[in-house]
Amino acid sequence: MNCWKACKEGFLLFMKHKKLWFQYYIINIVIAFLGTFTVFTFMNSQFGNTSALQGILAIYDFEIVTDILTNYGSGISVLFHQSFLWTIIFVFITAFLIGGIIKVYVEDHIADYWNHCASYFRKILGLALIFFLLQLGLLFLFLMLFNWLIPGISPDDIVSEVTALNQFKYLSIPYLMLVILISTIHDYSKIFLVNMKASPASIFKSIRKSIKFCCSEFVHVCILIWINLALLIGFIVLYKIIETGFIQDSFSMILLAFMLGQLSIMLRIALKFWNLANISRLCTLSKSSSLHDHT
Amino acid sequence: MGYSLLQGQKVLSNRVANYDMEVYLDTDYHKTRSETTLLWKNPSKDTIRELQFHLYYNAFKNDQSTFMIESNGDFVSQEMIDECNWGWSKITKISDEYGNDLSSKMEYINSENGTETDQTVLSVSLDQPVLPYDSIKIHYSWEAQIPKLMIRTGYNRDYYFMAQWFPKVGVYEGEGVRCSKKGKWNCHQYHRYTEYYSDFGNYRVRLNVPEDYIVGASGSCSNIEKKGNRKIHTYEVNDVIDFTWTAYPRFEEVNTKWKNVDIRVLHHEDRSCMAERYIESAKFCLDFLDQHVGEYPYPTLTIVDPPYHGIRSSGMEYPTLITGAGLYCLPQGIRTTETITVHELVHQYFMQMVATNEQEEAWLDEGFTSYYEARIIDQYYKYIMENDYFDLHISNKSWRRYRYVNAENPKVDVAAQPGWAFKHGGYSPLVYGKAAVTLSTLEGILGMEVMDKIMQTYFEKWKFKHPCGQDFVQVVSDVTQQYYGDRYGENMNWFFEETVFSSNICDYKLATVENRIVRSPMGYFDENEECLTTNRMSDQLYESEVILYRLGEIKLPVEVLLVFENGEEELYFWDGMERSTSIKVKKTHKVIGAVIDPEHKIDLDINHLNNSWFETPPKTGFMKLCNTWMLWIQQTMLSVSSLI
Ligand SMILES: [Zn+2]
Repeated sequence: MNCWKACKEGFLLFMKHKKLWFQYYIINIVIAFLGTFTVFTFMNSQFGNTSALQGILAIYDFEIVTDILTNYGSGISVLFHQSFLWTIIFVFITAFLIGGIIKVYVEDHIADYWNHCASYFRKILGLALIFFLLQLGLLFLFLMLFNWLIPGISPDDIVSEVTALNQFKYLSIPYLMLVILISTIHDYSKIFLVNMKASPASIFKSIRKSIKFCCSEFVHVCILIWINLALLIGFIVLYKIIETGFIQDSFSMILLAFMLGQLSIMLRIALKFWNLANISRLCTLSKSSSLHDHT
Repeated sequence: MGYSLLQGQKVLSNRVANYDMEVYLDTDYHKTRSETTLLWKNPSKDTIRELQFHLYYNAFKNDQSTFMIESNGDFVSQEMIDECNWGWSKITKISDEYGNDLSSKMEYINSENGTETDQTVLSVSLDQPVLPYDSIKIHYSWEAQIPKLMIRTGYNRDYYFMAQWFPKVGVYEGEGVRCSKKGKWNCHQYHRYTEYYSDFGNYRVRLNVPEDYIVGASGSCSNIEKKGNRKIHTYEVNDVIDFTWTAYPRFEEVNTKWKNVDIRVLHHEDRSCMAERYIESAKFCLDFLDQHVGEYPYPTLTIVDPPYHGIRSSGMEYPTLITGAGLYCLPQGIRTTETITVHELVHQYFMQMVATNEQEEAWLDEGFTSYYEARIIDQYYKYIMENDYFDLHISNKSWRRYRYVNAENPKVDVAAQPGWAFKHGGYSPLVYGKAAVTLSTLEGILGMEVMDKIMQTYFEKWKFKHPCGQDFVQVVSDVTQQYYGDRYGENMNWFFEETVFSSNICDYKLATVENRIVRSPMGYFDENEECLTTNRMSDQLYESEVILYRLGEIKLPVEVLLVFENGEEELYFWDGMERSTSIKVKKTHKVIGAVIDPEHKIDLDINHLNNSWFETPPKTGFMKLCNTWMLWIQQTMLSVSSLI
């Protein structure tokens, strides 16, 4: 089956170009380090000579956390805002790199990587904006539907919360499925987008092609989604199981927790990249797909 | 009046206000009608010529009541205005046992702290005065329009929660009661904050409701009589300060026992998953209070879990009946249900047995209740919110402290004052928070054993009576004297004046530690002699100075731990009187660090982070925090970038 083949080839492709994975991870950790360094500097200047912070070692003692928030809250809030700024920078970097990365996976060579990054940057960003608006619209629809199905959530509107909770549960399932479907179409659109001739209509054309592809290769596409999701959930659960067993009460344990955390970040990025390699392989392998734009 | 079921019971109180009531619930028009007989005993040496009644439902009569004005429209929805869901209560006829019709002698009155337009306090002049320690029987017919449930009491659809629902006589405080100089009625209007204050008595209430309604009420049900398509439920309870009931056709009940107490949980049919949580926490709480405070003397306890549409009656306390707060299968790690159950149950002791005046001194019940809530929940459950997955562990004690120290302005007002005096906020953080944190600070200073002795003594001395704040302070002083003599002064007034009777805050800071090597003298000491140039160290002797600041106004004695270079530790004591002080020591080893209040006895200290200073403090805490922060940024960046 194409999907298994795509998975295997995708993995080989991902491993072959593992530099891209490391590069993305390094950018992620460097930005996070900059954000953390300012936090450390701030806290060290405010209460660097105290021994009170030792109280958060076994668990996060809420009293210490609240003392930090209450007495140094304005500083912490600036740092929070700053970390959002770092996040936005990272999002733009991702938008810049992703076109180049996909091109490498599709063509299996790294030449002109930076050129490709630059040439697809605006289109990738435009595509992301369209899908972001779509996801927002879907969320709005979901909330409207929920609101329509139940008279409200105030005690004057409903007799028992059970009905509302059940409605929410039942609606959430199709909603989440749609979220995944839209994300998938987004992913495939990126593949088609980087393989088209530049034209103002190429974004919409790539979306059309992606929808067509997802419909015709529905089973394969679904299998790849499930592999990706299962691995992601598996990693998260495994990480949390290992992490909760860690009591960060000494330097070595904190170092170990740090390494475990970084491993989880690396795996998360790996999964993201492997998925991109898989779907680009699936597009290439599929007979129904015309990956390259001949028009 | 005959109290068949409870006749053999021990008399626990002075039974001042005793009621025999026939009540009819009209579910079509949401009304109650009643014939009530009040047997009122004059508890004082004064001759009483008027009775004062609370007509609480008039708080919901219009937007000009004291309650509505003080709450600034918080409880009035557009729907309520459109559908005219206001409530009221009125006595239609009143007479005394001698046949005097007093109906024309009724007059709404305004206490000094209320508003002119309010009708929640009614004065009735008596034709026949009540002589000292004598009694009078009053018969009255009354009816009430039940308000739509906006806070604590009322109806929503077919659910009725009837609190403060009947015209109830106020408290006549004779000379000496709650430190009063002369006898007077204490009958305040219904205010935004705080609820009620009343006298002990016996109740026999016959509730006539539609037959499909399940009823829960204070006390025990002695009889259920079917009458056509209705049922009359007779409830009796002795030595209580109030009577509350609920009726709802879709209640399910779970019954259990703790010692000789019948526990009855009434929950909405969808919420059977919550019953065990109520029962478990109630039993823990009763065990704890029995062991640390005193005996629960009533034979019943009813726990009502209001349905979702009755949620506005959640978390309330009435004698032998409390309302909890649950949600369909609330996660086990969120212990709101247990916390509220424990809180409301502690109220059975503080303000329902030790019947302080909630309206004038709410800190004596909410502060005490919050203090015990933290002790009980943290002992049995450890945390009120717990999730290993998110590394979330919040103890009740730390949550309570957080609500105080994180208030917008912890200095906004004094905690020990009437509810209506909180003009600019601060009621909850001070009355619940600061008062509770003050008690745990007292526990820290005096020790748990002494604290328990104080509370046991206070409960024993003042149960079924009306103490005031000063009465509690006196008990604290007496017990402290017994254990510590004059160590904390001739009384403990200073502690309460510093804390709940002031708006001050407490904050100690360890400023710095300085170490100097002790050298032999140098220079010219006599012009004829040579200059002393020896600069030798006198065998590594250090003079260390630890500088302490008192940043807050509250002066409390604190312990200071000095840590020396060789690992030795020494504990010092600072009375906290000065704004700053220093501890000087001469030792062969340097002081490398110091900690104020190392055992966190002073819970009132609003910032524990500045309580220590170390030359080279351990950085592992910082590292853990930074590690968490860094991972959080990394994950957030990856999550958001998945939109690309
Ligand atoms: Zn309370």
